[in-house]
Amino acid sequence: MMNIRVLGLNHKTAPIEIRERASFSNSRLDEALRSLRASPGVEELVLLSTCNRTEFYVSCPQADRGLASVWEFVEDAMGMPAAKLKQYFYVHGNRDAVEHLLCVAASLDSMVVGETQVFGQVKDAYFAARRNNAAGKVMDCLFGEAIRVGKKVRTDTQIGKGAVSTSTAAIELARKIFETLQDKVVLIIGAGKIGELTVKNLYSRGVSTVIVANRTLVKAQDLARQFCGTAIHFDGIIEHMCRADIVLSSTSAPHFLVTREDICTVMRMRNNAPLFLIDLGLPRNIDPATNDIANVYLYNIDDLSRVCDANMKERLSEAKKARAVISRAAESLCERMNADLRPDKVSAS
Amino acid sequence: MQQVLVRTITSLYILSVFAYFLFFVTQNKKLGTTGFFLGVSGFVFHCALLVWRGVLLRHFPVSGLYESLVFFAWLVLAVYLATEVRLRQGTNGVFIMPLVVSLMAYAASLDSSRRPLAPALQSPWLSVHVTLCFLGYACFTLAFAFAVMYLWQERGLKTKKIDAFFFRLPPIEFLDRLGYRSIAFGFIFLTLGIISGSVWAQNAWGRFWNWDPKETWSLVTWLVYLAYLHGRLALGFRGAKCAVVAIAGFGAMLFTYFGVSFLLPGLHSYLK
Repeated sequence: MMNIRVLGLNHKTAPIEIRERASFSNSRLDEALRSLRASPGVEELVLLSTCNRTEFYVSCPQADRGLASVWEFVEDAMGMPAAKLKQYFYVHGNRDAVEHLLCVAASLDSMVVGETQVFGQVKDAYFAARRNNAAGKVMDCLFGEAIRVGKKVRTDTQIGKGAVSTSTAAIELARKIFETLQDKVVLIIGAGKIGELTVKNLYSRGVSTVIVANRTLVKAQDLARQFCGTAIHFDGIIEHMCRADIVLSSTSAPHFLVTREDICTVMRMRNNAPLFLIDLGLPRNIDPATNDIANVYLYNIDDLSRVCDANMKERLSEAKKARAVISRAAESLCERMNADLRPDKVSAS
Repeated sequence: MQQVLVRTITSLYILSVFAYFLFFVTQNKKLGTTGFFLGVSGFVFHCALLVWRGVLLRHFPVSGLYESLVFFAWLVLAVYLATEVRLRQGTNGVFIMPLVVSLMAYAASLDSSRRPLAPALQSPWLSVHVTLCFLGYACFTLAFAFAVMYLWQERGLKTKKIDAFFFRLPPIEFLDRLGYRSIAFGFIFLTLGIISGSVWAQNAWGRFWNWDPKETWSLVTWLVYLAYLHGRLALGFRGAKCAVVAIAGFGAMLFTYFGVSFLLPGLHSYLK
């Protein structure tokens, strides 16, 4: 019989003060794995520690003894008595533990459902355990399946599709307007933080030119240097808009910097080629009426976050499909492992 | 034999529609490829059908509504498959394949018995004139699909309503460009089609232009698309305006093809 337990906490069960105490950085991880592996009742073990979760996957012939060892270790590491900690932790056994790991690896249990990072972290945790001789036959089987299912869910469902942050939502919209970003020119007005992040994202997608406009030219030049772009004076923005395909504004100007008339002129000059305006300013920098002009697409902060919400909804509905895949996989894995680890077979090895 | 062929073709196309539709919903690339290859296999049988009928009749099989529909469906598919080979995009199939299926279903519901070719049509010009015109029509049909997708996607972008279609439809710049290309090609074919027709008319009827309803309406269609190209090239029109004109042009084209044949009797009433 297989006997797997998972003991852990995550962003849903524990506040950050507790999570940070339970987190194991790379150097502490090796040590933790070795000492837990040596403690009584623990046969195999993988320790997954990310900024949102810490989980101990243990295979133990006698579940109670194994878990007791892990609890002891946790008390020690976090410097708190188990009685106080128990409210933050969850324990799953066998089938539930398998299903839990598959959900984690497929990013269903993440704060941002469908994010990609956790899949790599699960892999790393498994490799770390192998490196320290903490993982054996059972964990190979379990994590091998987790990695397989994690990949499968990502390719078979749309769980990772759709931007869920402001800056990626802007990119996603840009890609639904423009066929390619390779030959596009970006004009950024104001050197704000989100603006910078979005341009960074666009730049990594290969936009050809970045133009930066700012009240203080020095700041503009600093930002422009990052993207091998050019810095311009503030009063040149309308002129440069004729060239730019994506305009990103994030200044704290108290009034509209760009009016409807400005854009009308610009559109005539650029022969009605599509223009994507992103207004991250608060108060808004671009007159909302510009969205009515043909081939102009204006999005402000609220519009972008609505896009994110819609995408998140889509991801959650995909998560339901993923759950069905995972449930099937967990079922068959449990059957397989129970068959492989029948007592007569294990005693022989 | 012919019935069997038509049924096989139509079933393959219907399967292709299903595959494309599932591809559209699930976005699974394999389904898109399946739809494409089902379309291709139907197309192969479709070629066989045309050749077979042509050989039996000993003339280019485009006389009568039945034959013209089968031929038109074949051309629409040919043009679509040709673009698909290059674009590898799939989404367009969701819109084109149902059109092809409905053309074939319409044809299947008609009397397919073979009749001798009307004496006026017994000319080598028949194949040239009809092929050119229908090639133009096929390109316009493609442009129509692009225009519909364009308007849909653009509406989503403008109103900021992100629905399930948003992720599945291609970028609007792409749809706009392809719509333009299809119309540019279609316009060339239609122009050549009209020219070849008038040369043939000169030979057969003694006049280049007879103001026959078909001629008048093909001129109207031609003018709509001319307006499209003029707006685009000279006036800098783009996007939604162009898409609307493309749809209007498609309407005019449908009327030239079907409406004129049934409603306005004239020299071109061969479809009845």
